[in-house]
Amino acid sequence: MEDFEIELKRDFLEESEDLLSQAENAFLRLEEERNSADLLNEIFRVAHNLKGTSKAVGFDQMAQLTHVAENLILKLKEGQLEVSDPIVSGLLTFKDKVEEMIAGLQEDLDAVFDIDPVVQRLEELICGQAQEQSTPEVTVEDNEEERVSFKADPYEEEGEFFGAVPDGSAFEEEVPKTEAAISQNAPEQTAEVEISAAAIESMRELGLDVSELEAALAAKQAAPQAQEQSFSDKSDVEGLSFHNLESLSEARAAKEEVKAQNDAPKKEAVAKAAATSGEKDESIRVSLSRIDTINNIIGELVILQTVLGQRRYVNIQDDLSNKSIGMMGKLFKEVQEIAMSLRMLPLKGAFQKMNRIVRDTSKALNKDAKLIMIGEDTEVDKTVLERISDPLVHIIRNAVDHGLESPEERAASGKDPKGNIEIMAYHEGSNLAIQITDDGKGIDPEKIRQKAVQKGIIDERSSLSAEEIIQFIFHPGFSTKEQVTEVSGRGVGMDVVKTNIEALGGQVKVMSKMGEGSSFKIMIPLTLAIIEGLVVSSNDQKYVIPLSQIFELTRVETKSIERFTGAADLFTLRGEVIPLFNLNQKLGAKPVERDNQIVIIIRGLGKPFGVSIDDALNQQQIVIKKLGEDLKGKDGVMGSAIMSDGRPSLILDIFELFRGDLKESKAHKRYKEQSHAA
Amino acid sequence: MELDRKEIETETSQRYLQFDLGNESYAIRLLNVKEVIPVPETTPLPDSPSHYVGIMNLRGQIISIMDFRKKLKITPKEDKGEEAVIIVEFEGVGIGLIVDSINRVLNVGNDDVAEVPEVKFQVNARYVQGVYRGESSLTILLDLENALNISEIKGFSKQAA
Repeated sequence: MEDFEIELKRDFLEESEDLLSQAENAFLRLEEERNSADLLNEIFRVAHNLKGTSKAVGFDQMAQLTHVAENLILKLKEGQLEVSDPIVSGLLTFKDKVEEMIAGLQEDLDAVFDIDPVVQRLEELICGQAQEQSTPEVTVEDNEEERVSFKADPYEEEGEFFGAVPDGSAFEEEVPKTEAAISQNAPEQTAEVEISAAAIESMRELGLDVSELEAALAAKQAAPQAQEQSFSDKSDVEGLSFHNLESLSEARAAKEEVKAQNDAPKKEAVAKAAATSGEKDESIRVSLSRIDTINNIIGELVILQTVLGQRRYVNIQDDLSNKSIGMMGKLFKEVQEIAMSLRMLPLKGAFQKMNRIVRDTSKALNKDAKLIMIGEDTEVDKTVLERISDPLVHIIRNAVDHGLESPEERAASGKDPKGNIEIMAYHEGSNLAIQITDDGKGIDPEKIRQKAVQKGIIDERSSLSAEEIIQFIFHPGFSTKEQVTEVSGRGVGMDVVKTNIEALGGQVKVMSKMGEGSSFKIMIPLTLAIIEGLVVSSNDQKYVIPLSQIFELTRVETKSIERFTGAADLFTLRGEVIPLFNLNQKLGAKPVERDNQIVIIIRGLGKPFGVSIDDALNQQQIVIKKLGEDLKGKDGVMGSAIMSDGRPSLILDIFELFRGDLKESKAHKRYKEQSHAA
Repeated sequence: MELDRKEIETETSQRYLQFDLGNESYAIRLLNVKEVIPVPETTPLPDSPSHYVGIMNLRGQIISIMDFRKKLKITPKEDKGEEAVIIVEFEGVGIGLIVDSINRVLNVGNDDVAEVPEVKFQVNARYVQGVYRGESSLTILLDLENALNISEIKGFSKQAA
């Protein structure tokens, strides 16, 4: 395969991910707004884009599949078929398949897939009610495809089709122009495009070569065609042209806003849409590694500035220089903040996925549920965003499956038969809080208690509050076989949710009231790149210990420490006997003898332990740097941090560092139980 | 000092960076060399082998520094004035190597390389790719992969902890 070909394919795969999420949302909305011509146009456009481009870059299977889907959508669009549940489900299956293919192709550009069942399903849907018309239609479409592939010049072909894909390169110039045209004479534009679309259809039927016209149409498609009926498409145009998750969601927001005014006179609305577009930020795609590089370099600049800043007025006597250095410091700080914020993305994308989860889960269970999203604009680090999705899916599935009652039960207890699931995000300090609340039947603490006793997790006589008891749903081994249902019990339980969230440095808690519903609250740090750390010194070296691992810092008199040969040192803290380790010793240096020991108390693993250090220096925000490939996986080291003097220090993972020493202790056993049972 | 790598290597000649370890000349493929820097400040790592000097901050990236002389068991020069660090990249692993001095870039033609002679070098024969006959002296061309023992480096983290 030629290099440019590979690049084209990769570009296409990246773009189609966005197209797909757009398609999915449109499919889901189709259920609500069955007769919306705008929506069908939008869907048709996405399918058409997918088909044309996948064919052009040589993904024949995907072209074949999208081609069939396009036929189905065309039928819907032309009113030959009615939107029905099986059709929406069929479209969603199609979307899932394409998604699977994209994922597969990203691994291997020559991957081959089994698309027949989906093709068959779609064809059944097409033939189901409109067999007569579908046959000629298909042949016409085939002709067109042949024409595409017969084009002599491969470059030209690809060029044209890439024009059709709303990618930045081809569209950056196109879009503003069209926008200007739209705001000036929207009606004419509309007419023109409608005519060309219709004309092309009829020309094609006459057997004329329409590929050029089509290409022209395709190039315009993203903007003018969307104007055909209403402005609600207009905002989609933005979504397409800016072509970025962020702006996609912005566009969606704008769309909703515009939709609310559907009844307003068209002209006014068009003007409004144009106005909205004027205010909109344009976006580009940037790879995360480049952002990381810029963050690195800015970090270095800040350190250099600090060095200069310390020499101000001492070694540097020139007024202008001193002033400039001060200014530089302020600017660097600002630049650093901006660079950091580049990694932040709104939760919207992850939230919108949940719509589908709620839909599929409730359908499968014959329940009726609605998802309400609040605070989806809340921003969070990209890596966090990627890893929060799985736990959210689990919790939402669980809420529909175990939380919500059936419509009949709901009606019987005086609730709306349609269940509500609310997902809400907000910032709480330097944490992101996500709360998932259902108005279902709630969790019965007595049932949980019985199960916990039965499993030997708690003692029969233990007195725990209802709130403490229901937290046991996160206990490994608690999702039993009996609980496994088709939907939420695929062998993974809430303990996995908890493990995943804890891996992100977060916490999860459940609250519930019988009969009124349950609420899961997740707290995770906004970014994984920065932690709050305690800088300690040991053997004249600085080390960083994540504050999240430290329970408290205390001073212990050396003479009160009991030494036992062959066992850890022990000391008593407020009546509790705690083993004491020494950081110097652990790191291969001699412990310092003195009257008072500074001791860090760690309580993460159940039983607490203490670690004595030479000194605690300061507490600060630490940017975590990855260690080189050669040091990856070094036990007890989480990463490194660059200190204010520009030298690197190690960030210690105290739990891991002392895990071996706790071997025979109960704390360790419990830790092992927890980590292995999962 | 950024090294110019624009000159394309031909099939008949390859470029090497020549440096001194102790009183001997060695050279490694220039392709593996990212840059040469003065010996930086480093942070030692607990429980590490003796040739492992520590980690450094190379413009925001954390890189391990090794004493190449200790690694190859060569007595260093007494004069530390010309010590430098060669940053090499190999299979995605970036490592800094402390050497006694950097000499020059050699253009080594295939004909100039002799087989490894059947004598005992100070360096483990496995590390030696060949010997380059210069005008007045010999330079040992090191096989960086073997000399650094990349797989051992990757495993070092485990063994050290």
